[in-house]
Amino acid sequence: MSLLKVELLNKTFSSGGIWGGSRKLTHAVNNVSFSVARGETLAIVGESGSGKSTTARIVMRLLDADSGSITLLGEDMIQLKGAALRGKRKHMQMVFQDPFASLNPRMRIVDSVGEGLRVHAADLNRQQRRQRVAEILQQCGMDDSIMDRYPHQFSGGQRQRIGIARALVVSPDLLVLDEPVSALDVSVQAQILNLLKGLQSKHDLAYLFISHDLSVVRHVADRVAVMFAGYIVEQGNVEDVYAHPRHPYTRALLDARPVVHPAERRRNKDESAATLEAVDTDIAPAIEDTDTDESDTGCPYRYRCAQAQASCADYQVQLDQRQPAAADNNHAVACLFPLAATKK
Amino acid sequence: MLKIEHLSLAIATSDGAKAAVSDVSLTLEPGHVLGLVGESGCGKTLTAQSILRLGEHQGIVRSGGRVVLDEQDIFDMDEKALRKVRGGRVAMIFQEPMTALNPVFSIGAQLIEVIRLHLNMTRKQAEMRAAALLADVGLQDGERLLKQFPDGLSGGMRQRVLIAMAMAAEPDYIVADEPTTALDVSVQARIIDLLRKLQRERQLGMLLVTHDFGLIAELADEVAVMYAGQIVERGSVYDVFQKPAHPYTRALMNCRPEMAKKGEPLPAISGQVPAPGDWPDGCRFAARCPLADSDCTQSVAEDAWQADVHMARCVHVDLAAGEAGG
Ligand SMILES: Nc1ncnc2c1ncn2[C@@H]1O[C@H](COP(=O)(O)OP(=O)(O)OP(=O)(O)O)[C@@H](O)[C@H]1O
Ligand SMILES: Nc1ncnc2c1ncn2[C@@H]1O[C@H](COP(=O)(O)OP(=O)(O)OP(=O)(O)O)[C@@H](O)[C@H]1O
Ligand SMILES: [Mg+2]
Ligand SMILES: [Mg+2]
Repeated sequence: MSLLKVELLNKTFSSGGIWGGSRKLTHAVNNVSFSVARGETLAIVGESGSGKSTTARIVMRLLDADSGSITLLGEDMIQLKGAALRGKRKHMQMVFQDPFASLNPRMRIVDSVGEGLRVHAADLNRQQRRQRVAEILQQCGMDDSIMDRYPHQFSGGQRQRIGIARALVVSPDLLVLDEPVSALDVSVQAQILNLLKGLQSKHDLAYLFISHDLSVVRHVADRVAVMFAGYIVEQGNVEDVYAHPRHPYTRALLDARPVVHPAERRRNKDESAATLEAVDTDIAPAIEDTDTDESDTGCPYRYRCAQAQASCADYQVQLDQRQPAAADNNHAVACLFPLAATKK
Repeated sequence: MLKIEHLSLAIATSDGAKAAVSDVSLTLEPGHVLGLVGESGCGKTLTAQSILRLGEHQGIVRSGGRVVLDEQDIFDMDEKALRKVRGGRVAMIFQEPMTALNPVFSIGAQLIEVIRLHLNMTRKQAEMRAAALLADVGLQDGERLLKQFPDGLSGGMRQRVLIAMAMAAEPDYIVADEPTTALDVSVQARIIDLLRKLQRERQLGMLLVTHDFGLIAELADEVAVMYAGQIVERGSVYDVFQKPAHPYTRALMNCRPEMAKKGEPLPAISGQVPAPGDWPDGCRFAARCPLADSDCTQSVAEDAWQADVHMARCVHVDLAAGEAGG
């Protein structure tokens, strides 16, 4: 049984037009379904605005979905309210890109990190709380001498360690990590990724790992879901998806990675990235429409897709497991004309 | 040519000046891209900003050396001459496209201001040039965009606007400090393409500051690796990637997740970059270096090792070179 099961989540934001024009609807999350097993890492990748953080916030119940269900440890999270919800929160915790943005600058580290214990381990006294915080900081590679310091004056890597400690202190089963290493340089990133890996095996943690860095995702994740414009357009084992991307968007995303050695410069000539060039646009991909219009249907990627055909405008985006070769039966793609399974 | 010669910088603090950059020499040539790479806090931005004396208002002082543009020391220039160089012959693209644009002025107003500061143009001419610049950086519908405010633009569009602004006065040199760091992969790839295209077409001399080896691999001709305020390795991008000579360069390259076997821990470098003022004698990397021994506590001559133009500041480069290439 999966630890977390998310089914058909939908979320639409409405806002005034940028220049006070007509109201605009942003379909930030569309029919998103996935599950995460104990001890497993599922990564969500996708470009800016594709709905990754919105999905995470819904899972964390920091934001209400319009529809859909979230099941954690067999219990329906959407129905939970008040104290019952707060109790359940102990099982899943969130780590942000900059955890200090949410920390009180006037609270000492020991109180910030131990905050969750006041709710989820109310029977602990002050001394026991302190003990537990020291223990968890140590696991996160921080000396307990920092406990009485205040949040400022910590480096990026230290901040993230403290953020992870704060999430772990209540012994959750699932961590939702939203771009946890995106602000860090490559060496600190390596330290934090190693730390996360170690903590995962030690505590059998499940991770929902959000990132737009495909190399990081390849290293940390077991499975990956690729999001575009609020839809999951491809999902599967990391190795399968990277070796045999079936959705044209996944292919483009993989092709956009910078090279690892100058000898591999594909775009050595003056030409641009072939796949991305098809339709060159930086427009935010979330589907937006005014509430007077009919909502846009069809494949959201068709405007950028080199393979798009007329029928893509009528396609009901849906992950299909039967499309790929039988060998990788966890690998699903939402595309009318998926790339050949063998194509590298 | 634009040359940084034996430049040292210090940070003025309440308890005296702290050395932050020591004896850095770099040369920017037209048509060439020089990458400056290193961990966070090693002094890349301070070095890059010193080219235009941008740190002065934040208490950064030059403690030695020069920055020479056409035989003239930038540090000898008066305010007026300096303003002409800034955004004129030498343009800068900053790390944060969000904060580098002023939210209360339209894109057009900001672009036109830069154009008119440096080029002798009427308002009308400047407006036309602004629209043309936006087209050059791949932003269609320039007319409409000029009236927009930064808030309404995506991160990628803002970075394009900043690049357009940098190109406004047809600079010869461009200093790009983490130009793609805040952007997601797909936008990043397009900005890389754009920078490459502009740099080649206009034969710009570019200083590319980043901690991302991928960006260096994509764009740079030469690389300088910086650690704790010093250049520790310098060479052509091929040489440095092929045969990294300094243990620091190797360590940094190896902790990229691309290099790792799945399931195995990344070979992270333990510890962190010493802050300005905390630099040890001898090799500044020694405390974190797997090859360090008693030799390393002595002062290390600059460029202790060189092969052609590939140089490294390490007494154990032979060991390092032997281990490399894997
Ligand atoms: N509170 C909100 N009100 C209106 N629109 C919103 C809100 N939050 C998110 N959106 C919109 O929903 C879409 C998805 O945003 P989200 O933050 O989930 O993307 P993301 O994939 O996390 O992007 P990034 O990589 O930039 O963090 C975007 O178009 C965004 O502008
Ligand atoms: N105005 C300032 N006042 C005090 N210290 C400063 C100032 N500017 C930079 N520093 C310090 O000088 C050192 C070098 O900073 P710099 O910004 O050049 O690093 P960097 O290599 O660009 O790092 P990053 O990759 O994080 O941008 C750091 O320790 C930084 O904290
Ligand atoms: Mg996000
Ligand atoms: Mg910097």
